[in-house]
Amino acid sequence: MAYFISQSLFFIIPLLIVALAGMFSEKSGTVNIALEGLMVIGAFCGILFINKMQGIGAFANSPQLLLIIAIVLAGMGGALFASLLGFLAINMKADQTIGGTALNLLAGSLAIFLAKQTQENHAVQITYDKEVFRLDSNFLSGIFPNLNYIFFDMAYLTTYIGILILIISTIVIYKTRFGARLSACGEHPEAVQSVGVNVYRYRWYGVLISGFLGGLGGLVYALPISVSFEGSVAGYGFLALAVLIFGQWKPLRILFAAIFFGIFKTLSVTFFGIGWIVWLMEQFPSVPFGMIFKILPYIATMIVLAIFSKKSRAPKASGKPFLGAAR
Amino acid sequence: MHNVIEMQHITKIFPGIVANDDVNFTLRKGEIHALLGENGAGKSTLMSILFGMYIPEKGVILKNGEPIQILNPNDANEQGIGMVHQHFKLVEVFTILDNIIMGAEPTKYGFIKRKEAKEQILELCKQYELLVDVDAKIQDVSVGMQQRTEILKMLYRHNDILIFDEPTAVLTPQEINQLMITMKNLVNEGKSIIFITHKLDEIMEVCDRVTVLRRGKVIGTVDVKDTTKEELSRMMVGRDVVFTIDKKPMQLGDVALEVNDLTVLSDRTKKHVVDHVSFQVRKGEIVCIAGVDGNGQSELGLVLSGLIKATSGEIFLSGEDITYKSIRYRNDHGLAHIPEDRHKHGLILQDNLANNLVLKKYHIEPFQKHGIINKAPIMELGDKLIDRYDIRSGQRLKTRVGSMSGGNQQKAIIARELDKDSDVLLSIQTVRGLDVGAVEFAHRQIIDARDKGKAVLMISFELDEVMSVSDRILVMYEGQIVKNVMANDITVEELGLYMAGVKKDIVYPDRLSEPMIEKVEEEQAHE
Amino acid sequence: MSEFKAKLSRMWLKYKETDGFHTLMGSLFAIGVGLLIGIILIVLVNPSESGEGIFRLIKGFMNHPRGAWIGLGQLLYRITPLIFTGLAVAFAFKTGLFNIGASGQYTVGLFAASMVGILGDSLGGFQWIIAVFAGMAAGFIWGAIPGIFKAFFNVHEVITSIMFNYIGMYLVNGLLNADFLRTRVVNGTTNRTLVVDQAARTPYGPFNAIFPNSGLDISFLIAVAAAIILFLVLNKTVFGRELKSVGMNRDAAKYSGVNEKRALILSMAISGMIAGLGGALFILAPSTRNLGNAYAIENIILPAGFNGIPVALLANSNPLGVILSTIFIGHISLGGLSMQSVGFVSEIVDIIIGVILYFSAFALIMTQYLGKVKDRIAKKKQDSLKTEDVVKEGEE
Repeated sequence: MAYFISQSLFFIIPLLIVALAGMFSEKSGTVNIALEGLMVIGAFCGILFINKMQGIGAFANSPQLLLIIAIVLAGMGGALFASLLGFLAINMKADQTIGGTALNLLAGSLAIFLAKQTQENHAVQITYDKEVFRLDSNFLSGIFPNLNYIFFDMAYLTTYIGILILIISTIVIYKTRFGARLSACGEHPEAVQSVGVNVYRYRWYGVLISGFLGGLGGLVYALPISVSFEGSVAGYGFLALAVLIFGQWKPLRILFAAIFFGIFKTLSVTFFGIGWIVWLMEQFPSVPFGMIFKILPYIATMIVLAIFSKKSRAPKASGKPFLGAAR
Repeated sequence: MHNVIEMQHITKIFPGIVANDDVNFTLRKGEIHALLGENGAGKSTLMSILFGMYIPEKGVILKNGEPIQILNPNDANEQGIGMVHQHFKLVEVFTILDNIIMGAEPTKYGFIKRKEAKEQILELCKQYELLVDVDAKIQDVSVGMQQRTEILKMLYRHNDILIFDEPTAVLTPQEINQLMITMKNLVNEGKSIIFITHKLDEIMEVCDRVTVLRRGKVIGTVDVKDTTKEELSRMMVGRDVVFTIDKKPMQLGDVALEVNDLTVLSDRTKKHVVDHVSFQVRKGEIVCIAGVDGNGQSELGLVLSGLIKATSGEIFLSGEDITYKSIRYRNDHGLAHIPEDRHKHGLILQDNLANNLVLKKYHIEPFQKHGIINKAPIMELGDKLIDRYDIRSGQRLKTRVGSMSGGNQQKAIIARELDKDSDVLLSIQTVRGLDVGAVEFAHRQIIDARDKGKAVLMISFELDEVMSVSDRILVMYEGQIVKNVMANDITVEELGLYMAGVKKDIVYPDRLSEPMIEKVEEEQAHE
Repeated sequence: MSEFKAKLSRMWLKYKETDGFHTLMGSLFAIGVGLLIGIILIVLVNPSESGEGIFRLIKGFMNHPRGAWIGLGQLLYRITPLIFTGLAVAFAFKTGLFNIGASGQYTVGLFAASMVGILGDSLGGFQWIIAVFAGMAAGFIWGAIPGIFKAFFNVHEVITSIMFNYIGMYLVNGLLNADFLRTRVVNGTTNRTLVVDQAARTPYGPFNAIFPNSGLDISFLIAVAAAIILFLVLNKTVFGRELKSVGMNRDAAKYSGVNEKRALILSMAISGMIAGLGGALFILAPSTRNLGNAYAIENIILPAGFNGIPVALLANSNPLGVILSTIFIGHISLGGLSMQSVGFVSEIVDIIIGVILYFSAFALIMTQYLGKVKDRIAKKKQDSLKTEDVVKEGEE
């Protein structure tokens, strides 16, 4: 069980972060389907940095610091890349769908291109040692052995960063002036403009935050999953988009959606370790359980979406370029 | 009494039009000053300049005698100028509280101090007698309360110069009275008010002075006590306006449209937005449903056309039950529909005029054959309609409809619907946004249709239109028909009482048309 | 002759007025910028070989070792699946729908055709045609699903499509791995499906004489035919008119009597059908080059569907334009492959395509901007006519 939870965290946390990235952008009025690309860029920046640093032995004594710097770099890479979307959508008022698609394409090819250029033999994979980042602590092992396993032994710093981001996002959106104005820009920008607030500026903030979190989420996703980065995040960015819509653009609901999806996804790779499921499989040997469990997260999401989408309400002005003082 | 605001020699030019042409305007402290003019006269533009949303090409603005610069709404706000817009600038999903403080939020380290703001706002509510539910979301409250929210926005920012842009368009007569009282309160507390409107009655009732604009120029500024409605309207339009329309007497035929116990339930509010409505419309008569916007008329129009589904009840078109029939079926079997929202429903703006004119016919011969579109008949029809109805456009049939003016767009819709020669014409807010010439034209067309034996059902929020065009009036209040009367038999004042729900003659169920038929038959017998 | 020239120049002037012309100019602008950036990148990365690199990029299909002619055949062969997915995406766009699920539809179409092609021995001479129709049917169903979810449950088609990309992939892989199929249709060592029966393979038609050993078969002709048919349907038929009206203004389409639920579903279904057709013809190709006709059972969503998106967008969703944009993208992709042997990474071409797509969004804005300028000029004409009508901007 503990294993199950710790594994599912690897799915849930990045989904959460990237969905929140999408939320900041869309709440402020810019549709961002380039989450996939942002993740790739962020993962690339972060992992390349780690790879190079580990190669020259820097930060050998403080792996967590290395991780933190890599995370910040990943975020900055994402924000920089996202500004391409921002420019297109906010300043040029162009089609955000095309822009997002273009950026996804660009990110994937750019990452592989740069990987090949910076690695020997034009190899694509960027390898790194992730074990050093394990928290590997026995902090609570005396009292709560299972909790210790989940949150300290098998975990990475990234789990906590994800939770922190969720908390900060929720507070910012609901309690701060910045969050209120940001949300208003995606609902009724003319109203915001009429009280003298600069809509363009807040929309830019939304896109940049989106880029930062997207890039960060990319690294958080890619790091624990394998031992090398090959330029793809396997469609995760689009899953995050689904989680965003599922979560109705609200932080806490997004958390729920991410958990919902993450649990099913984890189930699909761990089901053969669960007692009663193994028993079921023995009872019905010809049923393709593997396939069923793989499909389950997506079917489950579709069912939930079908039930709850009648009243689905995206931020009202999201996707519509703000035309300034046009009347 | 000194001039708190002076606008001198203001000129504002948009591509192709001079919206304000050397306009001079003054506002005295403590007065309510009306800005009168038709649609497009330049009143909103002038006030948008004052509020910092536009910058004029020429001219200066003085406050208390000193020249000031207003480059954006923030500057205007700092000068104490606030504006209640015609289309509310409110965020629907935010609470009233959040809307009022937006842009001026009291904060500590970036966190909004909502409790403190709430106290301040409740104080304002008491001081100015404005009732609002501070924690409710805008999408859940009435239009009147939304407007009070806009007013509180201004008061929260200590604005002293308040601009109201067509505030009464969406209010019930009762709410209008309330607004008048509020304005007088505000003035007593030292505010000065500019009141943009085209409603003469309101000006006469509450304003001190009036400035009349026509086509961007100031025609004159007069004291209200020294003038009359007739003089004002003459200044506004430039000629004597005919308040009544020439109409032949009715020639009634069979019942063409019958509605029986019709109900529509709103998903959101769980209330009956159309509440057991029954009525009939006969060939040869114009029936108008009057009422303040928001009492179910829009939904009634939508359910008759098929755009939304009825919850219960029946609709009959020339005797046939069409309650559950598709929109296309209704279109093809005798229903013509001039929709309330011409951009949302009536036209495909990105498409050309030819395609829009044939929008309801392209699926029948000769405009198509075996599923393939036949271009020649479409062009022929388009040309015919353009000429007959004088639809002006840049490139005739190839024009992108989105580039046409509102008046011509509406003409195109009217042309298309009348050309269908349907038994029933459903026309909603027929003349919204049109200037006087186009209004006369549209009303003429409708009366002609009625004379040709069509059944016309109008839905209108403009009392002038209701009184002058219709033969019979049905008043709708909170989803129910509360009055059924011949247009000649009621005064505007009484109509207002029914519209405000103060009086109610009929509550469901009812059998409406019979008494009227008797009366008309009587009249016809006398001739 | 001069009369003919006069007629041509009149047609040209008329064309210049149309929106189509402006879109074309916009696309060319985007392509120009993309290529420019690509050239800069090439020079920066490997200055010494940059000349050769650029040369190869431009040569595109002409780089083929056996000569430009064979290269052309190879180009047309390679781009055929892309034409199908590009058409699928373009067709859906015309109804206002973003079919990001073309990969899933492509995959199920491929699977269905493959199954008929391997297991359908008894079908004799009809095996190929039935395999093709099986692919189309599978794609039709798979495409209809997002349409149904949107029409009846208001679920955004992007999400449904993405979900069903995964579901399709896992379903196909799962079925192929299941006992009753694996032994009969899968090659255990390579973990790919078997090559389809001879009777199920697409005929070469004249192409193996014209372009020997290039792999080109008649599926290219089918693709072109599909493009023409879709173009005619969209522009000449009532059905196409209704779909486009839903794409331009869903509410007005409803008002005019269009059954928008039916339109949404059919549009997505047809889109899926075209993608499925692409997948089917891919797996039924007679060529054994490039592992063309076997499906690898990996948990990866086939990229063919996604690659159709830039193709469609670059062509502004015009079916005929899709052919041109596919040829262009295929051309420089081949150039990119050839560049590898002089020390360049083939991803440069993908970067170029990404940049082109990015700038094509600007180009669209320029088109719209030009459209608005035309509108203003038209309004000026109106003002000078004798009318009491008020110009739109001052109205509300």
